[in-house]
Amino acid sequence: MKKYICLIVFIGFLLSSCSESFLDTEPLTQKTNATFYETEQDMIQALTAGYFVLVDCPQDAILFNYPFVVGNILSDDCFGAMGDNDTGARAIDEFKIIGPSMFEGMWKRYYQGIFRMNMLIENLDKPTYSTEQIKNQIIGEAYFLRGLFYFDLVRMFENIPLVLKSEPVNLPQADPKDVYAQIASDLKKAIETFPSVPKGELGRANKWAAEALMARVFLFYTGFYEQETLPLAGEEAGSISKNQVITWLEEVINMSGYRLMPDFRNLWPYAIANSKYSEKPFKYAEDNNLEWYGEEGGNEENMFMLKFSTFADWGTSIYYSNQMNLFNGWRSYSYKGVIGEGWGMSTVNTKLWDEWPDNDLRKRASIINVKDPAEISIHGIDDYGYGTDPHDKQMDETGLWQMKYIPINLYTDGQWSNYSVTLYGATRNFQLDNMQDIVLIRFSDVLLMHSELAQTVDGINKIRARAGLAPIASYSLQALQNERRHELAFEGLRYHDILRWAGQSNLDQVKNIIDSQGGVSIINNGVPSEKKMNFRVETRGFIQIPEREISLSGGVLQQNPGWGPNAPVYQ
Amino acid sequence: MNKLLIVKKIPIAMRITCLLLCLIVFQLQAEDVYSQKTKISLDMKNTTIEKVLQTIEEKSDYYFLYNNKLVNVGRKVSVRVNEATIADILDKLFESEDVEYQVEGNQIILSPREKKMVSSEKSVQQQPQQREITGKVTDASGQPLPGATVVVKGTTIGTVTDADGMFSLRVPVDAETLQISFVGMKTEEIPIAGRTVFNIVLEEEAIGLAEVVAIGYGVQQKRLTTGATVQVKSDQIIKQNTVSPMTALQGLTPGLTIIKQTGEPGSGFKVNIRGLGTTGNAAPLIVIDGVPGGSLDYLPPGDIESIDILKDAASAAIYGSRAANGVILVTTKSGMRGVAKGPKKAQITYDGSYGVQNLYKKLPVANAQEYAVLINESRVNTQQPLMDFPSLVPDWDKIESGAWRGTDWLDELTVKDAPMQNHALNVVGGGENSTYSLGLSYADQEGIFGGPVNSKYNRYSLRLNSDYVLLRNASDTFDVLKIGERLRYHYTTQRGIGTGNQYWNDIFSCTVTSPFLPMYDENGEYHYAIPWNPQEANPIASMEYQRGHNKSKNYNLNSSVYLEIQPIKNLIYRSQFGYNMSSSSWRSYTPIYDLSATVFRDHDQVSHNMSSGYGWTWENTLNYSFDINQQHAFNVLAGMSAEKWGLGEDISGTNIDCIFTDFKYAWLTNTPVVNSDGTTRLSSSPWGKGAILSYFGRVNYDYLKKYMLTVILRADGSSNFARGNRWGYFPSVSGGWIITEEPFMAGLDGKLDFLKLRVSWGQNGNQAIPAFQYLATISYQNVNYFFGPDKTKVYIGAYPNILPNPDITWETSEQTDIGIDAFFLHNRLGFSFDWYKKTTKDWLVRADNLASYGTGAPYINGGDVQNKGVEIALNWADRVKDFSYDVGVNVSFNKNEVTKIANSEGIIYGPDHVLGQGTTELFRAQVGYPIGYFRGYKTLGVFQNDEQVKNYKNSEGIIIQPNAVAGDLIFVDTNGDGVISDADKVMIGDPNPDYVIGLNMNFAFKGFDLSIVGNGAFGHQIACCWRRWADSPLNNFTTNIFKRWHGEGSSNRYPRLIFGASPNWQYVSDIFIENGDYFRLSNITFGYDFKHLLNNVPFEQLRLFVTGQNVYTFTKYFGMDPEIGTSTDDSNYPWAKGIDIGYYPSPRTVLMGVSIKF
Repeated sequence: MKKYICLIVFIGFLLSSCSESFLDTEPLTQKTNATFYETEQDMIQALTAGYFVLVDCPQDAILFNYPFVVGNILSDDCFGAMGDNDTGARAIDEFKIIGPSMFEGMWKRYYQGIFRMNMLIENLDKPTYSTEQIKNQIIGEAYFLRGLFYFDLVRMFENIPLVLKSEPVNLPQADPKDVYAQIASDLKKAIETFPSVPKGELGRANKWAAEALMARVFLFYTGFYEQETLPLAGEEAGSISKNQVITWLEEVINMSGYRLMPDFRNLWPYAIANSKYSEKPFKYAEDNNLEWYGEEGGNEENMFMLKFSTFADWGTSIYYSNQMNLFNGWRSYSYKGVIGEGWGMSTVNTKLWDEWPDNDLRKRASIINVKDPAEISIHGIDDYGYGTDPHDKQMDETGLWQMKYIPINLYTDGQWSNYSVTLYGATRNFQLDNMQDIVLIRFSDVLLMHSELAQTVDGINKIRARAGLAPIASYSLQALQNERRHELAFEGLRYHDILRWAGQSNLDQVKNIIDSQGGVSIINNGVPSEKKMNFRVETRGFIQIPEREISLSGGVLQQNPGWGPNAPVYQ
Repeated sequence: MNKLLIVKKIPIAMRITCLLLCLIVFQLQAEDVYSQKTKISLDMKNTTIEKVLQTIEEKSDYYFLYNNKLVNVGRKVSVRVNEATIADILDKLFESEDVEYQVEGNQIILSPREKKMVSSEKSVQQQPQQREITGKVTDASGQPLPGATVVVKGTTIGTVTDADGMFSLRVPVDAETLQISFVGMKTEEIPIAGRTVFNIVLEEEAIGLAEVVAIGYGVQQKRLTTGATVQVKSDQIIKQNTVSPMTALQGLTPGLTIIKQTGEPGSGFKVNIRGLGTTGNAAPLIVIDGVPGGSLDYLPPGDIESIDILKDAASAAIYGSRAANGVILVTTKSGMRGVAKGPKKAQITYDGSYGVQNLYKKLPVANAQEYAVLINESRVNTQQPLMDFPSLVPDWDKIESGAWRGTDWLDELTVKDAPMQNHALNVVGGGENSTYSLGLSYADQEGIFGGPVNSKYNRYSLRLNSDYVLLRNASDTFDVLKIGERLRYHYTTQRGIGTGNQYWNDIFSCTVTSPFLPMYDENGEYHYAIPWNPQEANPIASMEYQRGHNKSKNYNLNSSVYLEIQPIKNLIYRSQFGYNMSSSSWRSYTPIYDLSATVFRDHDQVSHNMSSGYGWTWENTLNYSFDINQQHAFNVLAGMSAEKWGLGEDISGTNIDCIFTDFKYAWLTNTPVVNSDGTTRLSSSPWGKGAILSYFGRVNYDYLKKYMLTVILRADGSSNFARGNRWGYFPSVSGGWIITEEPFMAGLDGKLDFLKLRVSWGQNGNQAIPAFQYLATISYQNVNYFFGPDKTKVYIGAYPNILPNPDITWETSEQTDIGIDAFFLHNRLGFSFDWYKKTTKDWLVRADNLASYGTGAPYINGGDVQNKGVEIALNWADRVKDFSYDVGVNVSFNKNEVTKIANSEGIIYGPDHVLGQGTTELFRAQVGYPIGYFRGYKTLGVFQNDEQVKNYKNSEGIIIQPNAVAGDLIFVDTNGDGVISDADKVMIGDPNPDYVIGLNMNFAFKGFDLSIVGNGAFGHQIACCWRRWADSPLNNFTTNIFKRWHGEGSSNRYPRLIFGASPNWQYVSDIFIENGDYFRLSNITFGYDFKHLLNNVPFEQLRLFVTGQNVYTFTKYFGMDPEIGTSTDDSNYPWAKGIDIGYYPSPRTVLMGVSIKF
């Protein structure tokens, strides 16, 4: 008896004494914050997760979280369009909502990026770096990305919490001025830290991209908020002057290694659909002997872009492919040709076409007009079926489609498939095989920003020359505005250009431009109609804060004006 | 020929009791001379006396009866006789022993001589005289009881009653007391006192009260339990002939909700006890033979001896750590300990059945003609031109003329007479010191859906349970050292069709595909998409290609060994080590196919994954039962348990371009080219390891079996929490009072026979969350980027994927239960009632945090859920002559409500796109509502004319739906602000039933038996939609669309048709919600035991039966099956259910089978 009790007591003792270690476990397929941010490799991976934010759409199958997309739709270049059940794009277009939190994906995505960069910046000094240059590159990229994320957030939502630490704190919204000051400081830090070497790895931020982005931030802030300078964060930090920005832009123009490519049309993938690649070439590309510059470094005009790949998969992430192009594709399952199928988003405003001079080669290089037989003969697209059944669920149909970001097919081996199948060995699947990089900063934008800030015609005329247009003699804002609109159409910039050129005290000017889209003839689901448009000045041009976030903050966050409970619902 | 009494179909504890009685029961016959006449020859060397006696039994018609504790039959002897009488042999065998024998008929009783001498002394040198007594045994109503046992107390002298309840027995003159017993009756003791004729009336034992029930780490008499528990016996399960025991349990167990996830063979069940307490894992802890963490899904019903469900916190508290959702204790069949000359041979049973299954009710869809009319009506309603059918639809003339009604895709999907079979062979037996139980079973079920590649489930299983007594105490009254083992092995294979969400559901595909598309083309191949809808693929073909070529295999080994030491009587130390191993593989082949503009595949694909691992538990308990003055009875238990799980690993690979084009050859080796573009994928990972360490104690106390008290305390440490927050302490206390034992209740016998009041309170824990919530883990999953010129090169990213919650700790479920058990009317009417309130506190929940925090929310102890309910069970059992029957009805009410979610929103969201692409959130968990309730717009019917639209205003006169026209839905502006917006959404349905009902009836008459089981649920709703209204205007319709609005006064239920999207059909509203009330006759079994006809067959039972499953369902629900346990995404939303977008229904099954007992 005794010995059994002893045995049990002994076993009990044995177990309780090592019970805590018995219960200890360790994650084997993940690092933890205790074991991460320790090597240079860790830092590079942490940065990569920041870049991923640029292509990720975590919550929505609809692309409302790309400021690039939203900017295009809000502008007077494009309509929301899509199918009749995809009401979101048209709601954005008409300054309405379809739900109380339709921009949740954008808000969340950018704060994820900010959190990742905050973590990275907090741990910058932990690892030992192989060279000082690599360390500086990493620091530069981290601050660049945080600046970019905040800029996208603040120019879309205006009133956002300014989170600069990784701890979770329910912060109220910051004064937009403070957010811009932080963006300026982050970009300044990036500019000053980045190694001063030409170009750099495709897809990575560098000194020149930071300088260009700084100019874009400067122009928006000083324009919209009607200020002379861009503040820096901190009491004594001072501010960034126009001249400083001009100097940075001149560095880009002279030292970056980027340049204007000779043929505007070869910047876009349709240029590849020539007889060299396709058994049924695209007439426009073939007739003009076009040859795409591609995305392997041959295009020295693209300074910073979102990179897509062949790795998209329903099981991992479909966002490794360019979903925007899919959305811009034609809603047609029976049509097979050069332009690939998709969800019919962002049809082109007829007014843009009408006002665009025909002698500008960028007009036909940027837009395809499927309702005009003369235009069709130029492009060789002849069986689109404008306004008829193959497109029967297409809304906002104008017969005009932008050609910069749209699926491009080649005809090989007896079938049409995306050029990525030929070029990169992608698997044929129209929902996943768009891989065109989305260019956020193009060298021509740098030239135009320089022209605008320095009020010179140099940049404008370089751009005009490439477009086959005569030079202009002297700088005017109107000339600059026209040039930007035509050079950078459908590149996500137009809407914020409109806002900043007007300024916050002159929003009626914005309303005039935006509402001019109203009355344009469109076809909705086969039924002729007129576009309705109502820019609501009370919104100041910014979008709705997700109501979910306001509710989760317990009222710490405030809704933007014009987007409260009575915000118009698209029906 | 006389036979020993073998008792059929009674619980094991009773069976053991009966066996002990068998030992001393025999019948008298007056043919004593036989032993003198019979001569046999023997030649045995150095064998035990036992062996010799067995040999004699084989060579003659004699049986020996003896108590091996009194007669030493283990002694070794050598015997060599030729044609000797049995008397001579016995004299020789026992010449040196104090053993004498007595021949009674063909039974020979061996007994120690000294006992005889004692009695001789008593009877003062007289020869023991015997006299004959006779009598009759009846029940309270006067019905004779055949087979009742009558023995002289304290002796081996006895008999059983004949068919008329009569007995006669020769007893020694000095015999004092007769003991009469019968299964289900109270044992009576009657003084002989010189009488020779006895009329004995036995009273019925309250049903089940003498039985023992499992209570975790032990058993207890049902009569004395203080918690709310339910026991289900093997025969109730086996006779329903289901593949899974879960199906059979439906309707038998108040408080236990079992809903099948789908009706597909091998599909799992959603099981919860007393309502959902969490959005996490709400399944009860399943403990099989003392090893926690098992699964009932693959356990063959034939292996089960009994299932005990511990519903209240006090009962479950002994498994405190994971008992928050209740505990199900499963005992598998173990052997029967034969005592000495116990059953001569093992009991062998075979149960087999074979049957066919068919679709019970089809979901009716429009045929080609109806479809064409409906499509054109929708075109007209949206001012669009009519469809040009002849140019778009092949063979339009045949459709137009009515010669062809189009393809009915659900018919193409349906398999007729899908076979199903079950076979189970069980051998149970034992010797004096060892027992064994061996079971083999096979189940095979094919699905009623899947056309050429229908679902299929196969299960092979083996069970071996054995126990060995190694040492008895010196006086041979209890086991000192005992060891044993439980071993179960299952091998299952499974193949299934898509039953998930709208993108992965073959039934949905079949309801939406247009009837215009033919099944086959002129070459007999699957038909390619037609111009009518160029992207629409043949759903049967895409099912076969995408999901038809795969097989999953599962291997499960569940085993445990134990050691029991009883150093002094009733002090038992038990140590048990359990080891569960499982392994699985899944392999699939997807061929190249081209079915439509969007459904094609250019490269074939092979996928293969394997997974293998184990877990173990080690439990040590010390149990002592004793009493003080025979009044205060105590049973004290102390123990510890250590458990580790997740000791395993997965590996999987996918590649394209197989050198063969057949599933048979779908091995990764046959895809020799490794691609770097993502089409070759490899992964391997360890299972999530976890551990729990527990210490527990329990005291069961009763005073005079009248007042009972149980106190339990358990402490558990879990690896899911950080040091410092690991330990949870779970107390419980419960008490019982058997009121009918009180003197003031005397005299109610026959009216109120038994009344017990139970009260319990306790706390249990839950730790079922992903590991490492207390750390900020860095994830490498899907955060890649692609720098540089090469689009086929990956750069791996990494980020902290959750905010750490170092404070995370146990969720606690607290429950109070008040219950009554009662028996009335001579124990024929049983009644039990329970009221409970269960509150989940510190609910482990992943409530969203602010997006500006930048990463995912961890699990927090952040909410409360309350379940309140009442359970009532009534049971009536009676016997009228040869006809016996019982009827049981139970009903369980439960009300579920989330009372707190710890963020300012108080919501856990459900997903969008559940009721079709383009629809918003359908269900969620929210404070103030039941978990998983349906949320959407309420409607007031359909606008009949434009006048109504203009008059539909809020209090301020704002026209609420200015854009509406006649035929559109009238949405309720619940907040009165004059617009229909998200703020107007309200609860439009609740998938949790208000109450569930179970019914079971059994009838037996002279070998015939009939049992009927039914179950039902009431007061819940189903969200159903079989069409993508928003983005697929060419989808086919189910025929409920005939009730649509198509002109003033035509309908107030469904709105007009629109070709395209409209709020009418795109908004989640109550038009998609239907009442889910149903009552189902789930099982009717009718059998006859041919043993009653054919006395000479060498079987104890030869029963043939017919079973109907899912016989009839009373419901108004339009869909195929109202019992819907799925959210269509059960891995992410296990807490939701009741969503039908193409639900795989339970088949109606007809089985024939046989039960044979040797």
